[in-house]
Amino acid sequence: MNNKPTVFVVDDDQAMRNSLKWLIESVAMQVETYDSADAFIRSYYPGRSGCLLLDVRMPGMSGLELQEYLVEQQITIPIIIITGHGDVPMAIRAMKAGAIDFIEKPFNDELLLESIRHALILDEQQRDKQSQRAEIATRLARLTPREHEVMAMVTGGKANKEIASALGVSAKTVEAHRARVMEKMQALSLAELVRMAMLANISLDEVASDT
Amino acid sequence: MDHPESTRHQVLISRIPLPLISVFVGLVCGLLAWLIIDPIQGRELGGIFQSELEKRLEFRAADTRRRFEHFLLDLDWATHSLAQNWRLVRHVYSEDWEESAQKPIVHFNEPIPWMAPNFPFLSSVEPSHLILMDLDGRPREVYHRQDQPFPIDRAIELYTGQPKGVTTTLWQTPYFISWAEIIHDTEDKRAIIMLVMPIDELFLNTSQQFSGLDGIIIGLFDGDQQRLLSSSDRHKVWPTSQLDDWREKYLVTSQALAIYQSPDRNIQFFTLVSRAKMESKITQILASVRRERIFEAVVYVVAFTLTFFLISSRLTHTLRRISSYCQNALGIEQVVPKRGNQLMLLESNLMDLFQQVSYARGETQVEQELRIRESEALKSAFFDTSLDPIITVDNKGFIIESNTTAVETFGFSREQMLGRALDEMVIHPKDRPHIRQLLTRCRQKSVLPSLCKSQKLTGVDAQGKEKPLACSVMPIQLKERTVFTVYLRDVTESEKAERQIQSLAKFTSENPSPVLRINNRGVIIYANFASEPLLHYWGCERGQTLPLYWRNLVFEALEDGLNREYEINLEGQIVSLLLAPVLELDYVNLYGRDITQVRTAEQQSRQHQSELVHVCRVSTMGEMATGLAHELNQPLAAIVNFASGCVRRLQSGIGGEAELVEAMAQISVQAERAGEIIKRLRTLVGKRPHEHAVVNLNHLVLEVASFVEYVAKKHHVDVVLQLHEGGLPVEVDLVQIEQVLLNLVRNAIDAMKQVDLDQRKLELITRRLGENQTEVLVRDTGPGIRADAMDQLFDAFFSTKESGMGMGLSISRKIIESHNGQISASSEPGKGAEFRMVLPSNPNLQLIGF
Repeated sequence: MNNKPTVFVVDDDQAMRNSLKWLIESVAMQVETYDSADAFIRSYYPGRSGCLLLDVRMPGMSGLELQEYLVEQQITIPIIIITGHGDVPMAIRAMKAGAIDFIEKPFNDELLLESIRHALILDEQQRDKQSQRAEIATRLARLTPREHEVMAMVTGGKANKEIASALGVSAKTVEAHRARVMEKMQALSLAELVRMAMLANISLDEVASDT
Repeated sequence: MDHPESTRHQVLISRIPLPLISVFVGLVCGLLAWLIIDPIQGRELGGIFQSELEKRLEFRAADTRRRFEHFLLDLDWATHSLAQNWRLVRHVYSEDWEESAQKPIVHFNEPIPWMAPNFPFLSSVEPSHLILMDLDGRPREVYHRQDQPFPIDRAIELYTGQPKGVTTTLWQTPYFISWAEIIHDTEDKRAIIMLVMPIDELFLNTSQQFSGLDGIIIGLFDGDQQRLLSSSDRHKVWPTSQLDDWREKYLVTSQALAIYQSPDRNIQFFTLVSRAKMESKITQILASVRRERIFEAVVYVVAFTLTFFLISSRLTHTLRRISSYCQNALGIEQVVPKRGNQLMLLESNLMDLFQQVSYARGETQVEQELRIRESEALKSAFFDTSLDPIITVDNKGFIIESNTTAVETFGFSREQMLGRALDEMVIHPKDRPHIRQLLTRCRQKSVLPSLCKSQKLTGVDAQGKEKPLACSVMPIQLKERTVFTVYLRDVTESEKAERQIQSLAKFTSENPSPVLRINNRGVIIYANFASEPLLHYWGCERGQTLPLYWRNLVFEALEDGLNREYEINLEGQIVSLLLAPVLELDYVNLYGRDITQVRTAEQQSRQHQSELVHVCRVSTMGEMATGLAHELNQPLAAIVNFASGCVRRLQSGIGGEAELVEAMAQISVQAERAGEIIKRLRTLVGKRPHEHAVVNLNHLVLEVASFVEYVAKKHHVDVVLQLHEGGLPVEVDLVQIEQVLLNLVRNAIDAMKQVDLDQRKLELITRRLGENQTEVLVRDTGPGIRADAMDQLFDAFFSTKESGMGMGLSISRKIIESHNGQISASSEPGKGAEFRMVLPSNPNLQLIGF
């Protein structure tokens, strides 16, 4: 499967689907159309990059419901909402739920394509961040519990002495732990370590709350 | 349980049927009796028979001897008759006789010349010797048949001269010798004839010939030597034997001869009866007696058994009856075992029955007590729940019981009242003599019930407040005394009610509207003051009949019992007259009502309504237009997309010609789609309101359905049409009715937004209701209408919707009513609502297209 970003169009109106495909393909992007939210869910798998063009009003599962479903499944594909006239309140709800943009019919082609491009960039960034986070997570997993504690305190802005007294060990020992943390996390500076800790904030929060 | 042994016996016995026991007992008893009685009786009977036989034997012996003697007599007589025979007499007195005097002439086996032929001698017995001798004792002629010599001399010696013969023995043979003098009438006696007959077997048998010997042997024996001389059966008992020798085999009876005794020999007569024969006879008799006894015994046993069998069958029957009685009357299941000793079963069954009966009786008692208690409770409930105060007093007027209401009415507790005098307690002093009188009156036995009621009394309660009371007294005759139940009804309320009724009665006369009553002949029997203008209008007075037209209306109303309303114009005043027939009393009430104001207001409201209708219509159209506009967006957006795509492709030089042509074609398809939508919009907006016209209700519904198609789709509502086949012509204001329908449909769709997508179903149904009515049903599957909202549903400014003005249904109703139709709603909360619109229709209406 090529991992070229794909624009997924979900709309119940065939004319809308065809015309959107026609328009988006004119800028050499890959388009897949679905006539319902169900059809989309059945064929999409989370690894695929791209963005989702979603009509709010559809028979069966509505656009908003599909959005909720994706959030629930922790699928972070960027969503652009297409609305008809008078569906503005619904579009706002969709935005609040995490859609990146909404476009009213009939579309300005430039505006739509710009929005799609933006969405694809966002998707890429998200994927990067996710892979980084995964990397940091594997590095964190290599730390011993004591190193974990030390890292949490260091990134929490505590001095070596404070850490030593808090853990009931000598400052030298803390120093040694810290060096090993830096090494294991492959951090070149304290700043980088802090950035890593922020990226992986979930696991560190847990440690911090334990102490 | 105390006697397991006996119980076991009883069980064993109770299992054997009674007839079996009786047969068994009968047999055993019979056998025992047999064993005891039979030998004793046999022996006794044997003895009795023995002695009887012996007696009979003696008798028989005497009898045989007598016969024998008679035989001898007969022989003697025969001799005498022979002696007188003329032949013998002639022979003797002949000359021959003289000549024979020298020597006796002996004839052996020669015929006797002077013997008459066939002389009637004695049967077969013939004399062995016949001797004629002269008076000197000399034999003159001797005839003999036996060759043995007979000592004639010896015979002659025996001649005694007596006219009677003798018996004797000669050489151990007994003989009977008989003689007679032969007498000539004129001559002297000359000769004697003597007959000698051996008493042999033949002789003896002949002597008994008329009775037969039947096993008895008779004979003669020598009394001195006890030796037999002759016997009737010489083969069995031969002569010369000793008599004693036969005693073993025979019963022996010996008798001396009473006559013809031998003068020189002791000749006796014997009778022998065979012992064996006699014993066999006894045995035979005994056996027959025994047979008889056995037969009797069997009969007894059978009768005994039968009797028991009958008894037992009766017992079984009785048992069954008891059992069925138990089952039917007492409801106790008591099974009768089919087999067993009925007597024992009866006993146990009866015991059971007694127990059950006593148990049932106990239950009945308990039940009765319960019933008494219940009835007491009931009575006390009556007593206590009575709305009237009830006080029971004794014959002196002291309170012995009071109910709850009495306590509540008079404010005294029950304990306070008990034992106190009724009049002093609750009756006002001025009325105390009355109640005392009343009690006294009621004490008389034959008092009329009406006398026990008092008109009115004044009572006093604990606070000293006076209460008007109606009092009635009921004497109750107890066993020893009379008590009185005093009912004291508090009539404060009823007095008030009476006053109210009186004041109510003034209502009609005070009524500012005309109220009249007309009887069944059309006569005004009552008219209130306000009826004056009406009477004036009719030109009649109270007590007179109504004008003909109105009279007929009254008659019609009385006939069908229906209310009628008419409007008349009384000098610019519009009056509605309602004829309300009261059938049971056969008159008609007539209520007039000034409706001038109402009519004016109605006119105003009609104007108002059409304004409102307008507003509403505009708002509906606005909404519809919004929907259509939205729909229009869809093809337009598609067109824009296709067009933009084409532009981009053309600019960047990508895309084939065919592709572009296809896209262009799509653009025109979408443009056409947009055009369709706009056409529909024009239909909605461009309709000119016009006056009533005849239209097909089905068309109307179809059109409304097409208006809402988009909205329905948007909300996933499934629209189902069920239209009456053929046209439904109605004469209506098309726009108005369409608006009503639109309004109902829109409401339905709005309501269904609250339910699941797959449950949204809108049904539009048209049908004919009889000849003159058509009906449209708008049915949804929404949440329905709350019962409390139902009443206000068609009121103006009532809305269950947040954004609703509350005008839709109110206007709808006005519109429908102005078409003389009805609109109503029904709902099953949670399941949906149904709006029903009924419009008048006329089958004569012609549909003139739409």
